[in-house]
Amino acid sequence: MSGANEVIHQSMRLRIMAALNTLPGEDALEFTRLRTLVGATDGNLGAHLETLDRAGYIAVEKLFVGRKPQTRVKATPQGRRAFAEHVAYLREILDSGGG
Amino acid sequence: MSIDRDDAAASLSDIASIERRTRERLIYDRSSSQLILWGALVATGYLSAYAAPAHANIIWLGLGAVGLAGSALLRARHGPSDRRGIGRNLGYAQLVLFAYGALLTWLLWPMGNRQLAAFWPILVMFCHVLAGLWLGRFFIYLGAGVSLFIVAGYLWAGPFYLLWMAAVVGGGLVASGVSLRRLG
Repeated sequence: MSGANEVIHQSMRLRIMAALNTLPGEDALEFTRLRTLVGATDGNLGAHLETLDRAGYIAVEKLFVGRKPQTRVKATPQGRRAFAEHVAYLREILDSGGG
Repeated sequence: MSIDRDDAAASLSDIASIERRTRERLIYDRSSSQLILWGALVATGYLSAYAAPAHANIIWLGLGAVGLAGSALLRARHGPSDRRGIGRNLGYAQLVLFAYGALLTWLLWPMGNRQLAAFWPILVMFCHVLAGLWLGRFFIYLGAGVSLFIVAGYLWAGPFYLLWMAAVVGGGLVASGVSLRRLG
């Protein structure tokens, strides 16, 4: 059994990774949409994104749509892999009936 | 770091809930432009049929072709992943719907213009209600609500039936698309 991923397991980061992992292919989510989906505040979400970014699990891109700045976030292949491994670990705990 | 069984179960449940909401929002986002496009085309169709009833069939065929092409363009705009996933399935669903609608129209022919004008949107709304069972309650409310208005217009709108349909079906689809854009 592989171990728990401490970066991903934190409740808000788990939600962020779950949302980003649901997106197909190389798709990204806008910051405001992600914030609504995971139920975070601006500051809270920003801090957790930074942690995930440092771990190489997500990529953040800042661009301009027209004149409006937009922040888009997507899961990296490394992040998707780490998330899948963590979910598998959680399932193993349930299946084995322990912790 | 130690995770017990309850914690693992709670985390997996949280993940499932976020995944479901994300998928729902993606579908809402992808569907909104389609609803606005088809709403505008349908409203144009009914208004044209009211103004020039002799040319109604050819106008509807032309609008159907424009709609299918426009839908394909909108899917292309959402990027390569949309052409593989949700968008591709929406495209297939539209083709299947058109094929079955055409088959039923042929089987039930001759239909009066009044019946024909109600048949297609009710068929489309029926599909919205079915899709809503998987995609989100919004589509159930949209399908059932517009169907009721169509039947009401069929029974009571008299000579203003096509104008009623332009407002209810076309306007309903556009309004739904705009609402979905806010939700998505």
